[in-house]
Amino acid sequence: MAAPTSYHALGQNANILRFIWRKGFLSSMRTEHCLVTPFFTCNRCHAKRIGSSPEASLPYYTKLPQTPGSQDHSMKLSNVRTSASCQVIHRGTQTNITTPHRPLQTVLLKRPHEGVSSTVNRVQPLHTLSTHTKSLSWKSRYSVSHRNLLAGVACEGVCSLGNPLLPHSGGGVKRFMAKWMTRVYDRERKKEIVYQYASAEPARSTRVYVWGYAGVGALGLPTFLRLKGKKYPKLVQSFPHRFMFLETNNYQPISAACGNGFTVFVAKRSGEGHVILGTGINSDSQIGYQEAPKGSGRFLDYLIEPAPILLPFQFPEKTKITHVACGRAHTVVATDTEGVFTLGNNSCGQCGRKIVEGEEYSHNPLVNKVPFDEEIRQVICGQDHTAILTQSGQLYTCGLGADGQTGLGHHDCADSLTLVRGDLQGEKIVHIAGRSDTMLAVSDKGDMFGWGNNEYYQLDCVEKDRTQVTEPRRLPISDKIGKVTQVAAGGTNCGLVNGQSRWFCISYFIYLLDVTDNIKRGEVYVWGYGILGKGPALDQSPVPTRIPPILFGRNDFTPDTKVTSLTSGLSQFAAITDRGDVYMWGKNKTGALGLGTRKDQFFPLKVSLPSMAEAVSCGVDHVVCIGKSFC
Amino acid sequence: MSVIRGAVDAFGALNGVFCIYKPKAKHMFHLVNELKFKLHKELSLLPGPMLDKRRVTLPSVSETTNLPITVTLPDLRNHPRVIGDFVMKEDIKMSFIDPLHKYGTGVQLMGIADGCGQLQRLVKAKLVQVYHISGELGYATETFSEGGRLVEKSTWYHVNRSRLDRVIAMIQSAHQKHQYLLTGVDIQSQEAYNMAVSGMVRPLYEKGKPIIYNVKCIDFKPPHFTVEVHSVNEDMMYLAKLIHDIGMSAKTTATCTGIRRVRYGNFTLDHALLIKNFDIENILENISLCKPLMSWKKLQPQRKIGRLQGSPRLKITDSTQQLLGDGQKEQMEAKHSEKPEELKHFTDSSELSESVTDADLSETDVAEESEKPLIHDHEISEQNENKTEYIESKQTDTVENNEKAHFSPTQNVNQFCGPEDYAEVNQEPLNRHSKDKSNRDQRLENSQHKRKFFRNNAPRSYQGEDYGGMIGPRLPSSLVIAKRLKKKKICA
Repeated sequence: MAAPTSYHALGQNANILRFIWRKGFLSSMRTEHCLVTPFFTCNRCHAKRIGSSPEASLPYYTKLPQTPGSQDHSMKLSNVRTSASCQVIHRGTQTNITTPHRPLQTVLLKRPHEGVSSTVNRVQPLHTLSTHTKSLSWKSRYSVSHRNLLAGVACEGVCSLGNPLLPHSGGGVKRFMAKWMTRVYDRERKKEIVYQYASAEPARSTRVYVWGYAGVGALGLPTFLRLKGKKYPKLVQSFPHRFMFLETNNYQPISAACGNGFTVFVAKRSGEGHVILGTGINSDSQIGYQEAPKGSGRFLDYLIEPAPILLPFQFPEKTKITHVACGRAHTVVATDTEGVFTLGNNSCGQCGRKIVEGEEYSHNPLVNKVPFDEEIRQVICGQDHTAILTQSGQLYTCGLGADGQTGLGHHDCADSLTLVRGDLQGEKIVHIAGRSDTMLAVSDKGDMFGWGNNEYYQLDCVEKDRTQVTEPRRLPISDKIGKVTQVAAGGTNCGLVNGQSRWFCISYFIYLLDVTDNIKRGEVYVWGYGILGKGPALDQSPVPTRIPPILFGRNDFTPDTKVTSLTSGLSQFAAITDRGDVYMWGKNKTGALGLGTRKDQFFPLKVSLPSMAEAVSCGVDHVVCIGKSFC
Repeated sequence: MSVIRGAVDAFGALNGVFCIYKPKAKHMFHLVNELKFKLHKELSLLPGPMLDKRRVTLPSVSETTNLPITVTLPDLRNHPRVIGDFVMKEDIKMSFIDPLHKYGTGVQLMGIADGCGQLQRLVKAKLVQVYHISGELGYATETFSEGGRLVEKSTWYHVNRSRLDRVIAMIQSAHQKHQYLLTGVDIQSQEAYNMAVSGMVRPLYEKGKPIIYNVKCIDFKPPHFTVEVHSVNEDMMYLAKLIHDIGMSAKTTATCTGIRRVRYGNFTLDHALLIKNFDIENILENISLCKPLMSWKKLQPQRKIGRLQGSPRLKITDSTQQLLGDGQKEQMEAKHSEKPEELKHFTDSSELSESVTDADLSETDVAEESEKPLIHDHEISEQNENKTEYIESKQTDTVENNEKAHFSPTQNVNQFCGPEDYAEVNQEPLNRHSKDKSNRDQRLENSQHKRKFFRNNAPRSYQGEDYGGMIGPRLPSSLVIAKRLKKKKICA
């Protein structure tokens, strides 16, 4: 069969082409050149190639084999479809293949399991419409009736009949065809382009999420409060909001801490040292001496967007900020080599310096540096006191001691960091907690100690009569709880996370008894007063009671889920499981639970976070969570 | 089960819920059609019902007694060659619930005859279903499934097992929260807490949002992967979209390439009947296999709400009561208890009297009939032979046969009979109706009373099979499979 010279020679009707395209042999066509551009599919990688070899400049039919028999055609066609006739390029590279008619961007990627071949396979000589007629007959052996009909039309070359399924084509059909062809182009282009959303081995990025009360700028989201085209500011963010400030400014988030209405972020820029940024209430200079514009004498009492806090580092590029904590109106920053820096209110000595009567804390540029030789393990701030735990397990406190929260044996304010004794003497403390007036500590043996406020049964098991405990006391723990690994103390409620059982033999015995639920640790126990997390019926408990682990996702499908860390705000709890889920419960007046509502939550409920949480910091009415992306 | 001697028995016995393995690339509607066709074909091959007898007065007069001769002959008006097959395709009532879509495979529950109604109990029980969904990374389509129009392609080399598992774990824990919110209970109440503590909770509403109890990657051969999903209220599109979401969360795109339902509550692949084995015998076997799984206890909506005495949820209105399934069960019971009575009545009034009259005549007339049969039809004589057998079976289980008589298309033919016959045939049902009327009312009252009584006193908490904290039917597969896979070291 002689190859026709042009597409028009076959009947000047696009309908037949359309049909052929439908059959999947043709992917695009260019009527202005009267050419037919076939495409080939690689069966292995599903990539499709439009057109012939890149350097082809002549119409395809000139490249046809001279005397192809019909059987050869079908064989050829099947060969083409099954062999990898697409151009294979190494992973991650891109190239532009220029066809004579239009540039085509192809990013075809070799799959790793198929091995890498650097050779570029030439596309087989392509077939024209005439070969399609052959191939149609080859293909239409198992096609249904109308296909047969059409195939018959195509085979016999009765193309002037057009598509028997459509009425005789007029101008409207032509217009439609034009639109249709652009759509075909778009669709085929989609098949060519391979998007790359992640590199071959992407690092998991750190993400920060904030939620809670936004009115004072503590969330660092300025768009909430700027009235650009809005009638009211957005005061409450009741579910997690991605905090993009650090990413957009090329900071890498490291940690964060929440105070009463303000937040402090520790971040790092590549090639620079650690930076600390603050946002929210700055009434007592707790997030630094913020003057804007500089030298104007205009000091900012509220920041709605994070601004760097300048600390007098000796080696700003080397020094790392290891810990940060925020109280009611003061901030404590611990570094690895340069000691501890404190900012903000010092009315009770919480900054670790002498209390000055009548000191003005607003727009006060004073930053107190407390030299600290030992390596620091943990820094926490209560409302008006500070506690620093060293790696050696010793605890230093300063600040308000009205409820005995400094644990120094008196009710006075301590204006310098002082070593805490009491029952802590001789113990190596590994974890401390205290958001308000009650303090809890855990030793490396799994013992728990407590001091401070006892008005709400927090320390009822050791001191039934006194509402204040001024020195640390060892809290008796039942064998059922086992070792304590983490503690949390809010305003009126306390919680702990247990670890391994104290005596292995006992736990093994329990295991033998098939009480397997007890041997898996990482359970949360709560006591005190308020929303404890066991429904609205239980509002106070002097002894630790277990929150059923099923509420933290330990069910039949995921039987080994554990709570790894527990933190508390004044009246909320936040627990992180080993699966990276955050569960919160407690008071929710300002949406600080991140559950999408402002109703109080009486049992742990998962916060919908699109990342795996690593650390949560609870303020009084807002929460910051730092996590890692899944991929 | 009674012995099946013919199409009548078979058609009557085909009644209940059964479970098939749906093949791929076949729409459920077409499948049902096909199955009906198969059944119809098979039923038409079985021996049909006995032809009714008809007393015919011959025109000639007996020479000895000078009286007109009456003979009893089979009523050829009801012959299959006249009225067609005993069972037409349209008479087979078949339906399904939670249909798999065209390209889905796996366990598919179907009902036949009364089973169609029983399926609704399954719907209300909201059984947990287990799917194996396979997906392919690297491209997205408009329908989330293989056949759809391409949306975009993307690279997928960065996806490895641990990353995929992380994404899947996120999806699962997100749904765990979801199920507490869909219980229909105030989340701030103590009841909500108790419900949450008791384990996984079924959603309140019949047609609610889908809930996924468990997602797990069971196979990962990039770019192909398979996830196991335990879910309620899902549909095929949702499952396909789940794969799409997994792909998006893994920083690539993914398309669903296959959905296979391996479990529907207690119905597993072991119960599923293959289409190639689809015949009356196997269906009957399957129905009896599925019957214990349809018991009331197994289908009780297990929400453990009965535990909470005095909670506001216990004041259940009639509509919610029905939703919970107690009323349904009661209805079913009432149905079963009523049926035999009704049928007995039917036999008392019509069948017995008929047989008595026939018996008197048949003794005298059979001889004549055999001597000079009016119609020398081979088939009919065959049927007469069958007839005797058939009568025996009729006496053994009259109840069933009458049930079939109710269904038989022969009844419709009666209106084409002559006026006498018409009167005769219709007399019995009319009588029955008048006789029954008082009884029927009483029965109705009784059943209503029973229903009310049951509604007020039914045990609302049935704790089901003990399965740890999980409410619902026993769902062993995921854990067991995980252990097996670990043994085989398939999953790392």
